Amino acid sequence: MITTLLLNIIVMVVGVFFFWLPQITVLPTIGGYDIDSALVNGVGQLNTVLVAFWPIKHIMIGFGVLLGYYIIKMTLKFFLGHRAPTH
Amino acid sequence: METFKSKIGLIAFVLFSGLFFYVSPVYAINIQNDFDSVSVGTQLNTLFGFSTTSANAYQTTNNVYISASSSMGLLSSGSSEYLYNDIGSTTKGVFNAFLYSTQNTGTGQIYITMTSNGSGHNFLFNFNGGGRPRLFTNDGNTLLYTFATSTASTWTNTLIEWRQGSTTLEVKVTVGTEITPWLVTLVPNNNTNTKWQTRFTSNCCSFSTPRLDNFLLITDADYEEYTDYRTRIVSFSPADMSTTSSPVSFNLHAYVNEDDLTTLAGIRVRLHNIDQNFLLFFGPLFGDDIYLLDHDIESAGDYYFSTSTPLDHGNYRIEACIDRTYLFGWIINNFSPVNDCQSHQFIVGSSTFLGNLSQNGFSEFDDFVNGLNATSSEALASSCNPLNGNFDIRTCALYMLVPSGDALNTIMTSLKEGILTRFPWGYPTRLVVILTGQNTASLPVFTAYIRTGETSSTTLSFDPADMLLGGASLVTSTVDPRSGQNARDIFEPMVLLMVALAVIFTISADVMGSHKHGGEGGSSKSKLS
Repeated sequence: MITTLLLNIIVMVVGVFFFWLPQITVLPTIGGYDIDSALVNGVGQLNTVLVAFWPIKHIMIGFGVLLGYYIIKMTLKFFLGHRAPTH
Repeated sequence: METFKSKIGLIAFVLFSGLFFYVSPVYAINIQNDFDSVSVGTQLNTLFGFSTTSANAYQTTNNVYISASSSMGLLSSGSSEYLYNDIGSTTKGVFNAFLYSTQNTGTGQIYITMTSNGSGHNFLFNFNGGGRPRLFTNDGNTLLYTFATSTASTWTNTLIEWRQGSTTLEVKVTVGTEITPWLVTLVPNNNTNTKWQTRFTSNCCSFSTPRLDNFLLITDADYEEYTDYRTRIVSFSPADMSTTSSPVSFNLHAYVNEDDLTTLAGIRVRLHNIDQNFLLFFGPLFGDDIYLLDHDIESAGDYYFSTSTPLDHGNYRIEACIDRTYLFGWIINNFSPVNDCQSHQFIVGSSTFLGNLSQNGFSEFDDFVNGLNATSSEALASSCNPLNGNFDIRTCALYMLVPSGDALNTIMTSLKEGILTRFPWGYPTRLVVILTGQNTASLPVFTAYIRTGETSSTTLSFDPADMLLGGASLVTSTVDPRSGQNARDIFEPMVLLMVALAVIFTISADVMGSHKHGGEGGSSKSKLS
């Protein structure tokens, strides 16, 4: 209960700072080129290819997870500096 | 020591983040039912081997039995039929008997008299003119009849009248074309009653009263559904922990109470996929990419949705949510008690969950967190009261400090929709959603022009999709004769296990710094002077 309330308050307070920002649902179109459709189409074709090569799909997913870990680590280093619990 | 503490802190942060990010609620309703083996729709006379000419057919303790006079059958004017229940002891228990009459025509009244040898019975009546039964109300309030109250001297209401005493409750039903009576009897936990009796009496010679062979039994699950008027997700499929095949049928049944739909307040229902093919703590950043339903419900009552879509082999998690909205869906209230989210995990194909570390680890955590459902929360709250016998400091601490799965889910949803999709970080969020999407697209066809002469040419077309998918279908159609599994079904769990282990070990090695030799992360050798 207490934890739920605290988390709700934190999310609400953080949300108050950003509610006025526009919500992004698609990637922008730059110079007449629709990046969102291109990416969706490209990833869709990749998924079609990976139907046959499904082990590669799982390896790519694992690599994506690993990449996410490194991004979290970089973010911690950026914000915490020398205080970050990383070596 | 400091380095070790900071590493433990990082591991704890990463694990907590993972637990924090992805949970899903699982609800369990446990109801004692003496008719578990009885099929829905069984007629009472068939169930108990009772015919229209025999009498006193009865069951053992804790079951309903019927005793009737020799005039059993069509209820003529002035005659009565009886329905008995003999618990046999004063031990606590809940017993339900649901009677549904298909007789709804004729004129006159049916008198239903409930008598008990104790003072602890409570009766709940449902009467409705067709469709979903409504709780019988008097002056707009739901009534739960208790024998312990005083006797009312006169009949009240018009079509359905009642009066109650210390050991007797009488209901007079005027039967017409608009009324189909449901009679529900509950015997709550108490220490005084062992028997109750229901008597049906007709008062009019021309009235074709409900016959006892028109009374059917329904299960506790049906009763819970019929008498539960909360706005909620009633059911959705595929069922939890089920295995199905492509194309997959998705069905949703929700119920919206009319009090929850007003001019400014509304209800939104969502049905979407939470991709289960990633490790636990990265789930919400990569999933939620397939919305089957995202709709503002416009009218109260039952809401149904169904669709069917092909899915690749793999493990999936489908989530159904009801959200309280305001101002025609512009605002979602994450604190509303109306909000209800449930999720089911299922497999497409014939694989098992073996080898998928995220789901094996997730299931144990899921059982712990989602044990805090709505029903148990009240029991947990009472454990914090030092003045009652349920006081337990450990349970109280769990209740106060550990958030429930559905609450965490709501928080994450509001975090994603309120913050992560806002400019400018909405762009990387959208990029992640695209990259982890499950949608497929057709591959381009390559056409080669070949000159066959000075003025003639021919074309050769290569369709990669045909070549790739044709080969894939050939591989997937080759199955092991004993298990019926193809190569992917057999090897996919092993591949998932190896990939997951490799990722976990890589992250662990990086956290512990064990792969580094000297320099910044490892131990440095000092030169001897």
